[in-house]
Amino acid sequence: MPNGRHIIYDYLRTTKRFPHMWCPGCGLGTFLGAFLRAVDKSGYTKDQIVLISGIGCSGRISTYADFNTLHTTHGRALTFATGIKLTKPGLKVIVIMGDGDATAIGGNHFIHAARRNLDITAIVINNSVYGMTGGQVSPETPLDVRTTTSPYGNVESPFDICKLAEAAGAAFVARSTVYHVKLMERLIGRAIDRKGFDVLEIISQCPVQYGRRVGLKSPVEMLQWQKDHAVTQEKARGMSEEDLKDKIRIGALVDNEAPTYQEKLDAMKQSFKGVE
Amino acid sequence: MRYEAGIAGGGGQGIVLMGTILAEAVASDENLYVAQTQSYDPAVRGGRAEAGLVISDEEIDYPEALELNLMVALNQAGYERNAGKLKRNALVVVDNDLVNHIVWHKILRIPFTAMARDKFKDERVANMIAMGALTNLCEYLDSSAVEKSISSRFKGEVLDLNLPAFREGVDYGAKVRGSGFDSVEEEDIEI
Amino acid sequence: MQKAELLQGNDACVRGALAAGCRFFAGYPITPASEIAHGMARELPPLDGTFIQMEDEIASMGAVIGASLAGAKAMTGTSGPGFSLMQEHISYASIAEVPCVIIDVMRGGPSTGVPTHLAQGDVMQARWGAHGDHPMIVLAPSSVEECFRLTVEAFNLSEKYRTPVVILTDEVIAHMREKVILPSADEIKIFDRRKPTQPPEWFVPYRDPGTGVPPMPAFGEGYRYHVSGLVHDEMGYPTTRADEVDPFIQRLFHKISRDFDKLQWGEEYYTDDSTLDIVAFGSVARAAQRAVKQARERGMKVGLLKLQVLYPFMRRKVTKLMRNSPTILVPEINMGQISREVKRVNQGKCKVETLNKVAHETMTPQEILDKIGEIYA
Repeated sequence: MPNGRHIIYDYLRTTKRFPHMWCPGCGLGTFLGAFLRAVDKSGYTKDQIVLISGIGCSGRISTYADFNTLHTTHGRALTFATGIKLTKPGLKVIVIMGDGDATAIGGNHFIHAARRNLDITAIVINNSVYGMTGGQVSPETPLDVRTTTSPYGNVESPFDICKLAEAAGAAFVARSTVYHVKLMERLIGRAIDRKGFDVLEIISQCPVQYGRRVGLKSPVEMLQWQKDHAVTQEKARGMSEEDLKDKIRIGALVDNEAPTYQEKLDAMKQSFKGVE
Repeated sequence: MRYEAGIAGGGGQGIVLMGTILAEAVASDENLYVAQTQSYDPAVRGGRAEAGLVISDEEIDYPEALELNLMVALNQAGYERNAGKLKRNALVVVDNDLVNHIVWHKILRIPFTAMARDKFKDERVANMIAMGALTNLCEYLDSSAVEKSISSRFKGEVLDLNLPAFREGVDYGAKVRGSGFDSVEEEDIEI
Repeated sequence: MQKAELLQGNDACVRGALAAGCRFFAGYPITPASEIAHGMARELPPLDGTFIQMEDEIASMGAVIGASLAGAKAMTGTSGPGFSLMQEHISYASIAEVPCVIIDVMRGGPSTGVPTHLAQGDVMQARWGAHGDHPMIVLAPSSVEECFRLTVEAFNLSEKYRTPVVILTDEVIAHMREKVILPSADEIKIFDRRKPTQPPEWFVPYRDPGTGVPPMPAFGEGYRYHVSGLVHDEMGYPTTRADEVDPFIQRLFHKISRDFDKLQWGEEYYTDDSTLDIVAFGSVARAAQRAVKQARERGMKVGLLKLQVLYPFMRRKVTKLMRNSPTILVPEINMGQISREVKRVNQGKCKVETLNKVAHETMTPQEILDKIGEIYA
């Protein structure tokens, strides 16, 4: 708290009519706090940052934060981000999506953005369910879980977002839970600092549409679940596959250096200048 | 004045390219207007390929060639598709080997594909030979203008192959122009 | 004096876009629009512009909107099936007021239809394909020269009104080559979007400055504002209040309709003394042009209005014809789409005849002439 003033007052919009629309106990507020602290440490000014979101509860983040903000369509935030980044490479482009947003309706855009290695930070806030529309099954809902559209239990296997991102070519892939708030802040900071396509999966809680359906009766129980199921990379190394089965690996999972789309484009454009 | 030409054949024979090059040559004449249309099947090789050319000394209202003064057919199907569009005194130029059944009173048979194969070891230049011949069969096609259009489009080995083929066609066209045209009446056809 | 050249319709659209200042293209391969992407892929990088082939048409349109928000003039090109996919984001561009240009080279449909053949079946999709109530500007060139000129104008209109503009061409116009003399750069009038003049802290992003079109800063210029596909208040924040929703939607429509009289672009032939007038667009207008000439040679008083603007529908010019002619004939290569508009504005003034063809072949002058003869008989 520099000079006794909380950072959020520097980064939330004074012109926006609060309160926000998130339910009590939602993980999005905790995430937003960590995100703003990470941005504050990054050295980027508010004018330099473009914050883009999709549709769903997470999509509303762009309304509250005082950057160049863009609230896009469901699943397509990365496509808008692509156009912005390629037009103004100097801007820091950060995309926030939900799990249904990024891996269902936006799955194709997600893997192609990763493949291109555009200089974009993509944050997927995964609460395992469609919250805003009434608790429907998502590509991140575990097997057998009952939701409003899987009333007899989910028969589809969920994606591992981090593995998907890695396979698609993302340069940096990391995961945190909302409970591990300091780690979350550090990883957001690292992703913002890096060049290339960064994917950050945040395991979050939706007490209203998800927790109560899986026997986690309060936000506190859900955070306790996150604490109990998360294992750091160091800890995971000493564990068997069997032990890791229902665990969530957290920390930086992939960290590769590869030329970004922009770097390759710049090199191509440089060659035209050579011809002249 | 309105002069219409139709070029027809199959995908891969360079039909649309012929249309484009010839239209470009006509366009370089400051007294002429030209419109070139095309139509083809989704298959890149084989299937149907057609190009139409409308040449006029005034601005062209309707750009499609539907009443042909000249038809060039590089295969049988191409001829048949366009036979109904021929004007009364139209000239039909066909590939000798690839168009066998034809009924018209003003026909010129030229072995474009055979010449390309025998002389240039490459059937793909049949369209170049055809374009060369046409410069001597259509008053609006100037051989130096067509040659310029070809030269601006290709370079290196491809140009070295295409240009001689085109010139071969020009010479052939000059030769056959004086020798008169075939005429085939209905009863002559063997089926 | 510019040089005469032989140019294809699709290439003329590329040249028009570049002349208008377009520096961003995102697209997905589809015939018969491929040449637009080819041209942009070739021309944009040396101009320090960006070409990107996206994973689909939805993504293409998203990237175009992003580029425009970042300050670039941006466009895409596609055909019917791809145009359908783009509608989600055309709707977004409309509500978020993002200038952009979409070229739809119509081909035979529905669905994958007849991929390389001619049709004019996307008229209604261009107008009403996007969800929700929204205004739309749709232009329709009928020659290679118009492909160039109307593409320049499409950018001008999209920048002026902060709205997506659709150019509807068809397979014949797109692939046809014609001899044209394009204007030089100094002969072309370019309109760039208005930027705010006040400092950021005074900036209210969606306040009507009186013209209906709020000024638009690019991201990164110091005006941190919020862009959203939700109906928003003057600050750009989501609202459900009727007293904010209503004036917002009204403004979206009104910013274009207030200039309705300036958008009556069309060419008239022999309409001074005509007793039968044809209303046509795209390649069919060319056939109509010839048919009208031939009809005149036969002593029939036929006129033609060639529509260059399909939407907002050119009611002024069309109703003027209706007052003078007892019959209007609308030939088109669909089952009757522009004829619906003609009938809509008719209101009993005259008889509206249609001539429809859906075999995905060109409409010939003879077919129109036959219909004229039928009407006269």
